[in-house]
Amino acid sequence: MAPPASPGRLFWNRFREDRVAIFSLGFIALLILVAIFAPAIVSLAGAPDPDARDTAALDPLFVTPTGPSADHWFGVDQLGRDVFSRTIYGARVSLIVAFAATLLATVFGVIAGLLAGYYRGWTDTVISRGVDVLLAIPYLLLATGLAAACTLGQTSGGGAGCLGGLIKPGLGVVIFVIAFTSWTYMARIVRGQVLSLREKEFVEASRSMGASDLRIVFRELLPNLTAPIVVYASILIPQVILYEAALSFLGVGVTDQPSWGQMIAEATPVFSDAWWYMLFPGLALVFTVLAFNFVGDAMQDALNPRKRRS
Amino acid sequence: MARYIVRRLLWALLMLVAVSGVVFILFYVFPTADPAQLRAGRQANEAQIQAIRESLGLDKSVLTQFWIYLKGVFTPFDLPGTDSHGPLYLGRSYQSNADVKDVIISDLPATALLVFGAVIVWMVVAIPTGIISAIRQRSLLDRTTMVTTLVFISAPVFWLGLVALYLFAQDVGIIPIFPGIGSYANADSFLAKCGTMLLPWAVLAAATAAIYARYLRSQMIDVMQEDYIRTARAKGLPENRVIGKHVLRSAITPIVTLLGLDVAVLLAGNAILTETVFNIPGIGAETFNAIKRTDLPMIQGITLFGAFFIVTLNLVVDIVYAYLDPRVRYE
Amino acid sequence: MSESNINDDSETKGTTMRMKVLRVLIPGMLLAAALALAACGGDDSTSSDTEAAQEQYAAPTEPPADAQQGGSLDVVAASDVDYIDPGAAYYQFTYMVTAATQSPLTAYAPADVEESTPLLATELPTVSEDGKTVTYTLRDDVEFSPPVSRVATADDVKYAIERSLLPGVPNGYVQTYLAGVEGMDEAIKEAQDNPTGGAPEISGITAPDDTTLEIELTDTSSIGVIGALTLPVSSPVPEEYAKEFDAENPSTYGEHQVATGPYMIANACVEDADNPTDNCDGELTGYTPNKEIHLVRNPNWKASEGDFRPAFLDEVTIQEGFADTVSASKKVLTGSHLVNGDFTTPPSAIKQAATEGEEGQLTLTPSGGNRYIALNTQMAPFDDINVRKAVIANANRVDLRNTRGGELTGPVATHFLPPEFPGFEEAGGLEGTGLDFLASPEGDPELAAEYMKKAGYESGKCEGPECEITMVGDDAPPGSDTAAVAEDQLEQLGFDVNYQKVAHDIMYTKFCSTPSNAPEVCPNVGWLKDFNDGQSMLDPTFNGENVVPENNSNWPQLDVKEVNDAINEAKLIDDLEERNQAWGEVDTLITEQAPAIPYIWDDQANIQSADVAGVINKSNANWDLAFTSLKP
Repeated sequence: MAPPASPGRLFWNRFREDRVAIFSLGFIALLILVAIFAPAIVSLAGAPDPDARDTAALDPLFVTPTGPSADHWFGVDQLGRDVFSRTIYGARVSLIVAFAATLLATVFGVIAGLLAGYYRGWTDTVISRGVDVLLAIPYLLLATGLAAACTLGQTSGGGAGCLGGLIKPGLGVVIFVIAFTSWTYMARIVRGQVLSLREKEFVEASRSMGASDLRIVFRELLPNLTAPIVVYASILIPQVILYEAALSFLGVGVTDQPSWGQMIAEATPVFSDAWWYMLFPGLALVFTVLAFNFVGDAMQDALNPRKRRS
Repeated sequence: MARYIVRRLLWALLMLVAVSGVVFILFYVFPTADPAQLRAGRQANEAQIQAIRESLGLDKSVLTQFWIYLKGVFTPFDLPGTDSHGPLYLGRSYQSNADVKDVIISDLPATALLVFGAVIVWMVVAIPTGIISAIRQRSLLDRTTMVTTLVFISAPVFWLGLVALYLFAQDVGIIPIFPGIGSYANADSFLAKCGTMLLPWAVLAAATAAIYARYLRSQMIDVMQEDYIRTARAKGLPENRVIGKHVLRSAITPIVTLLGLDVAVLLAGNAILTETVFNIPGIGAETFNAIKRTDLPMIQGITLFGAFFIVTLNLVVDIVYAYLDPRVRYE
Repeated sequence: MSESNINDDSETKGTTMRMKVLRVLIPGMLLAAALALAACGGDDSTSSDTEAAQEQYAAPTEPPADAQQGGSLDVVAASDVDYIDPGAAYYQFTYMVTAATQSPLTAYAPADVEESTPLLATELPTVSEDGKTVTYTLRDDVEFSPPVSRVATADDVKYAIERSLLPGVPNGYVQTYLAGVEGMDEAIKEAQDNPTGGAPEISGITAPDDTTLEIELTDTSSIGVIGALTLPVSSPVPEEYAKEFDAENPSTYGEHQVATGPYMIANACVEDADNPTDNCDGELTGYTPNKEIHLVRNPNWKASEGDFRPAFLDEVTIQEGFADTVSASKKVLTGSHLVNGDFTTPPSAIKQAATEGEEGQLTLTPSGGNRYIALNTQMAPFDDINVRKAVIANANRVDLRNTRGGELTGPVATHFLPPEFPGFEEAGGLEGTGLDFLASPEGDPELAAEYMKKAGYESGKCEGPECEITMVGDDAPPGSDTAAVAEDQLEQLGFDVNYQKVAHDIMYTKFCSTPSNAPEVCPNVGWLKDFNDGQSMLDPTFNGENVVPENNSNWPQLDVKEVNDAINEAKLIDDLEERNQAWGEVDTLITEQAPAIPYIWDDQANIQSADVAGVINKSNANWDLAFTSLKP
């Protein structure tokens, strides 16, 4: 009889069975490479810079965008910018925001959840009720409102951004706003887990041996929380990507570099004519989010085999 | 029961105050811009800005301002000496000077029609899909359905809206079969308005229907593994009675809870993306315009209003639940 | 008036505006555009196409000989009129309504470019020898619509002008153009002191008898006065009827207005079209704000030799709320009995009209407007004229123009007075003033570098902390596209541009029109004439004396004594030929100061359904409802 496998090994073995998930993981790895090497890929493909305007590519009489051609694989937008290279560069904003905001929300959520679950009492009450209050506010409105408010005053001089200029307009505000409205579920999940874990024998044992709170949290609780945290974070990522796209679409996202949501927003006035400007960033979004969703699903299944999906 | 309701009511009221406080902090204290200057608009000079600052109470301390703000929201009658009239006074738009509450009320019908129509669509699609997938677990049909639903969950709703318009709208579509962008504002009868909502309903419902179908499926699969279901089967009950009577009943309860919250969130303005794409003059579209003009009182008012909606609907759901399941009252 | 774009529609209502209202300007096309491009060395490959296109889309200014009477037309609009009250109306789209419902003293007939045609007056006004008395003789057969139903007199015109000073009637131009009328200052003060005390008396306006109106001036600004009186404010208003509405602030006369034109906004008196009555409430039933304006025939209007309007249609319904202009345009192009109202025909719809539409569905008219990128002459580094010249020289104005839709939307501007406008030819016509920094429409980087060197930047590029500049522009196309191109071009010259995107109206009100908060560059400003005279184009926009702390329309904040003096002098010239010459020279003077990059003289693209025989009013660059008919 073989020795029992470690939980991590078991998890991986189960995950590996899901071929779609493995394929998705590959896609995500590829996407990360695309984002990192966007300039190289674009120039290798012979496409122009994402901000370069090829006015000759526009319709000569009506100056409307033109569709896919040998020079511009995905066509050009109203300004003659190459949709292919903008789509490639767009991966950067999506992925940076996806990982950064998820990380921030996770860290914040885990800390809040640990505090609430471990200390219970009034700490728990304050944090849990705080979460309740935040959950009662429509997150998309809160996020757009905050993003708009934090960008305000930039031109009138004086402080721009939020929290006394700590958070700068642009990428910073987007990441902050998304994280701020996404950490609550993580906090709830962690709190629930900690509440049950802290009654377990090994925690009790450790406490009776006089271990400090910090030691218990880091040596006993966190290792046992890794799996649910990773799984929930992996579910959060695709949501964050869609969230960022929505903010960009509403005009409160990142404006100084191409992003998929912003491209779709720019395509809105011309989409009936220039379908390519709407189609390609949209497909990029769908594939990316889908890949993350497949991976998230598979991780959830691997963690909790009883609830296997397809 | 009465005690429980009173407790929930008090808690909801406390929530409302807390939510007002959080929204106030986020919108008044976070950003650095001067609301008086924003409000003053086109023809302001320093004296006028000062006058506005005083009339808005911006010259007072933050706490005093919050107190005034709270009074405006919670006093059910006009406050003498202030702008406030009636309950839920959420301030005035910087842009049009209109009472935010009046604007919300005039926008509510369009949003309500959009949301409730979409709810019907997504429930009608999600329930049968979820059931069939659960029964035919791991069949080709189930797998196809699950992948399809995941695609809909992964597509941004605003993009889905544009694609739907590009394909099916009467004005700009390739296969012009449904009323297109902006037709809502010009539809006269209720029926015509519903007609113009067909595409928006489908688009708004797509992702949620997918989520509900998947959720229902996994709930049913869980329930089917419960002992009492096995027992029912063992007793020889016909399969469709087992599914219909036992499995579905317990699997659908959490869905109904979810529904309450989703409806509240959508009514509260989270339909903003769909409304923007289809030019539906609802609360979300109003927010979009307010964002474009950084009309903070409007954004803030709509956000707070939405929060009230969510708190109230939660309260209703809680009470209904307690009525259905007496154990909850003594939790 | 300043130009706005319908992408940024929601306009604030109820704010008194000095000199301007954000007014929608719709790009279109002009016959001479190809000439301009050829002359400036524009895109040769397409100029012949363009020329052909221009002839094809020339705006019809006459109804067809066999125009048929009757029928009902629908106008598709995105948003509402600015003010339904003709005394406050200051917006192209509103003028479309007032041109059909009101009778000013004189007005621009569809083909008029320079001078107006008498309407309520029997002939153009006479100006006394000393240039200080303007006299109008009125017709005696113009009757108000029910419930007033009496002949309009000179007193009614006097009252109409006087009431426009009331704070409750937020007129945007009378105080500017009629400033030289005797007793104007006192009347303005009286109205402000007592906003609900009725219209103030203007001592310089008198009505010696029912058909004579005399205007006494303190200076020789008669041409500006006559120009302003072509606008709806000189349409008669019956005092005995309007008094009670004007005692309110804001006045409610707009919602109770009576008409003197062939059409009227429907009210209860004409519910039964065959039996109009005066025994009714005058409140409009045909106006629902943001929704609909319903025009019906004015039963008291009779075709007359004195009235140039044929009025073929029986009924016009203006439907508002078509916020999406692409689909609205498609509705017009593929529908029946429809024309566009207030919105920009977007490039894709122009393309559809041109490629798939029937002949005549698309018309292009010079709008009498310009657009430019204002450089803040009061702030470093643009306080240096050489830096400004460098920026203009470097700008590829064809690219800038193309962001608004290309050659079909108007020629590349070379100065500020627009084509087919008095003073335009005198200022150098399409070719321009011959200044080197505006010689190349596609930009001249070498010349730009030279000017930068002259400004003390040895490398030919901007270097130093003053080169970090802010630009506040639109957040939606086409304005945001123009701004993006401008940003590009500024960065070529070494500027570090911080581009802030805001809604179009916010761009004006919070930034570009508020000098204390104005950025270095305003890329999305422009001006639309008030009437066909150079004063209405250049005085509000480049006279240093007109820089005001708020609602400023001199966006470059140009304040050069030579220019100011020339403008003030030109305003007082009352000989038409001399005056146009003077405005042409003023235009040249301004252009020499390099305050802005002029990049387009907008043309307006109007569209109609295939079964409409539309007539364009050139002066308003939009459909003239009183001349439009339905095809048999």
